[in-house]
Amino acid sequence: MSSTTKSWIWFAVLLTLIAGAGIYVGTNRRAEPGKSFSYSVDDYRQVDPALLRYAEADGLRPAIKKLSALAVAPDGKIYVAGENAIEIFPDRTVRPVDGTPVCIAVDDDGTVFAGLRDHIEVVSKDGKSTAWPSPGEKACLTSVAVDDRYVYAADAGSRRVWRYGKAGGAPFEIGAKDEANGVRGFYIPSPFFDLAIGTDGSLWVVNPGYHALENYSPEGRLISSWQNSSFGIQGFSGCCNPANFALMPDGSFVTAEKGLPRVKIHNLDGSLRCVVAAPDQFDNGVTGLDVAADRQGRVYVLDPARGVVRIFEEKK
Amino acid sequence: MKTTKRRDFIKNLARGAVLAGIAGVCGMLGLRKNKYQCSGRCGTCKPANGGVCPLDSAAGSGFVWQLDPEKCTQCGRCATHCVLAPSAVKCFHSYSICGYCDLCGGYLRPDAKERNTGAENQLCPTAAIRRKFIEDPYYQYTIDEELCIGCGKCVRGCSTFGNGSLYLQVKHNLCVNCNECAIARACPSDAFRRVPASEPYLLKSNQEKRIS
Amino acid sequence: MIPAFKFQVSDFAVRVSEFRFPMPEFASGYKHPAVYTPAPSSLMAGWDIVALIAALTLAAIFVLKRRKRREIFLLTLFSLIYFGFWRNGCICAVGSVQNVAAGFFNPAFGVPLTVLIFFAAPLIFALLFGRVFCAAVCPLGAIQEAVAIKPVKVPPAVEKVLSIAPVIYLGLAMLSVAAGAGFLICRYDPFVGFFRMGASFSLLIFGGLMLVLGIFVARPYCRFLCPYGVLLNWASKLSRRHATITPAECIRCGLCADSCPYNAISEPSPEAAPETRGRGARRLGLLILLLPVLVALGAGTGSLLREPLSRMHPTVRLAERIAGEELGRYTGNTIESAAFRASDTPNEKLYAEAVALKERFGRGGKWFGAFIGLVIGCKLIGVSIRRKRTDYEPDRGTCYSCGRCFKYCPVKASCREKPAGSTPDTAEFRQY
Repeated sequence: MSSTTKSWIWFAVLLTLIAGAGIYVGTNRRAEPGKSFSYSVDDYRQVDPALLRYAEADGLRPAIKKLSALAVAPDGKIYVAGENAIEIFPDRTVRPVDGTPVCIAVDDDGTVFAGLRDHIEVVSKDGKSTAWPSPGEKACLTSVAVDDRYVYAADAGSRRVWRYGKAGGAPFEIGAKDEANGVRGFYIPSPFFDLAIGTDGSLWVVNPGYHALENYSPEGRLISSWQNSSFGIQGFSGCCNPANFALMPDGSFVTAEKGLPRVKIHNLDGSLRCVVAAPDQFDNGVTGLDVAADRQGRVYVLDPARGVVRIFEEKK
Repeated sequence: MKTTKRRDFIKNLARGAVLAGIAGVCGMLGLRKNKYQCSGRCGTCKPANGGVCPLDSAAGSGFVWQLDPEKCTQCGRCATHCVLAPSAVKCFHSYSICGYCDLCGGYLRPDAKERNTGAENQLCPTAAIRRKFIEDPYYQYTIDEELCIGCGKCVRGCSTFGNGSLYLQVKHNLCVNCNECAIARACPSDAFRRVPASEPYLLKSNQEKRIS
Repeated sequence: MIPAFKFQVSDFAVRVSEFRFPMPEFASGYKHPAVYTPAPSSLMAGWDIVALIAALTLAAIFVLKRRKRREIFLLTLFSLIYFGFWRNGCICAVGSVQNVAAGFFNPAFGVPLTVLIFFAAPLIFALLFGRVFCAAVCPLGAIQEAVAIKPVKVPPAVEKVLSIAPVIYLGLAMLSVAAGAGFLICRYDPFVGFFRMGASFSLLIFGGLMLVLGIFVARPYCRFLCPYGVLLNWASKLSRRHATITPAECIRCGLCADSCPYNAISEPSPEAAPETRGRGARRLGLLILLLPVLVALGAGTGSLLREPLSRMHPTVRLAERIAGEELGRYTGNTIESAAFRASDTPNEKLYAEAVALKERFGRGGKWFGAFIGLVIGCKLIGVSIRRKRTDYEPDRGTCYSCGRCFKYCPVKASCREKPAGSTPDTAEFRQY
């Protein structure tokens, strides 16, 4: 074999070896993690269609940004809180607020009690704001409710409910641990702590860590409670659910959850009545869903991810 | 008397030029102020914390790789793409964010029948999370780093159903600090970046008690 | 320059202080455990610089003054153990080229001093003393030297043609850095898997194959792939002092050229001129005229190759995947496309980025192609110029100063005393 031929063979062999190895390295992919390393809750996202008894109607599109809270006033108007403002439907008036309210409640005369992170701000009908002093340095207010006598503020940071008079002042403490009277204390892992006032004037409060709804008298005495922990549709999943709730005109509970976002209605004894909105009707991982119900039984859901208030009505 | 040939003269000239070039390059790159991927989070440039940006001096501590937990999508590639086996990425637990829940989203499987330490109820494929009762109704969860492989399953569970106190971080006693991190290249959400070696962690909370 | 071992006590303000939801109140007085945050062990960087400079200096002394193959080889083994296995082969001078380039192309890329020194020191030593870095300091060269037991000669023509491969590799690596597609050299470094005892399966196979090849074809990576070697080659051509084969007059026995596995020793020019001067001059003129043609051709080709080149960049690959999924060409998601869809970025922004990147690769490809064309042209010119040589000389560009030829040269220093022209005593011939 002549040396030129030998050279060419050498050349071809070396080139093939190096190029081949390089291509092999370049195109070889690492294995992806297998099934035992993947986490999926897709099974729980399915909801039996028979349970879905509410249909979505046209929603509201507020002009303000960063929607954070929702409330239905006794006169039927819808109050939506967002960045430094509160918008009122159907008039679409906007009332400025000093900060973004985490929660709001509306009185008979249109006064708005807005919970900013560590204190309550009272915004009167003509736009005047009064700030109440903060209930404590750990304060993290997550819900406000008002009836004709009292203003209740749920403080997730201090793990208490504060009861104020309509004019403010020093609050009365509800929720301190009192084993003898059955008050096991509020177990709150994250700032989702909701309350509402029933038609009889008693206070319904979520105890999120126990997945429970507890009924208190205005003096802080425990009247009753119900709870249900489950990933299934009949209970509440995750660490702190229901993240939000509201009371229907007949006293049943409309609950909104986070983690597996869904809106359901529970009967007075806690059993599941029906599903308003299934997880696939929401964006993945949405938090901050707020619910409210009006006198006609319509369910309003604040969807911060889509920036709208969604309205659900019972199917005929 | 030395006679310099023309070729040698040109060679000397060229050598001098190249030396000057190298010196110039090194000077330019070494002395300039680098705001290399300033995260805006370490706060070392504030006068209260020292006032000197660790990225400003090339004579500083150099750079290491770190995972930004805000961007992480828990795809599981931290466990498979590290050049080391097991991976240098491990799960961190932020105790100040944790809710200490009985029903822990990162510890228990979604379909767990009971809330106990039974292996059939645990989410972690290597059983690297330890659960300990503190007081009613709080439980403490700690990570056994010898067992953790950095797959991120608990991170996903905790972020979805909990406070997000479990998250992945690169442990620098294990990481060999490759010039180009293989995980960084494979990360689908571009969560890896270089941080100064004097501030090598991107923790979720600065309220942790830390030991180095 | 050696940093003291510092304990970074607290004040790790990683988050600007913001409101943190308070922890539960523990009635039992529970205190949560501390989090263990070990600091990186980059504190050896100072020792690396010391070791590098010391090893380079020693290598220069061994090659130029001591001229003993055994000492050079021992230093090579030390470098293999220290820079290779102890320091995990990273950061290495070969990869530092990318960091320096990244520092140039991206004003926000920080290049620490260690990297700059790893880049500059071997080049400076090459400018002064030849490729002593390759001889005894580079861990990649060291591992190849360690396995080069039965070297076989590669025909010089093949060697010459394949010597364009490292230049192409260097150009591609620079292109990749300039366009933000990452560090190619680090990704395809065959030996780093052995040094740090961890790599993907395919990289370990590649490394293994290179080592097996290295038993027979000495230093395959250095000769046919090393991009930094291109720079060292050019620097060494300008070197002030370089390894010489014989300490005294060459007797033209040819044993050195025979022993050199790298074809790095040039023979003395033959007595009679093989071709007329005119013919040689015409050919040279033709090649000089050909040079700009080659450059233009290279630039054109490089620019045309923008599509395949741009696929180096993950954003371009993602854009193609997303576009393919939208058009139905691909079914299902990859992890990347799923993560992209879950993010807020609109598809248009991704496509726009990919198009901009293709433009960048087109421009970069133009420079890359022109560079390759220039190097090929210069190599052709270099081959066609005949230098008159009376002795066997190492080619300053490709000689790695490994010192094998010292072992085989029969002429020893003691022969210097003998008058010129007389034959050396065979009794003086010493074995190493």
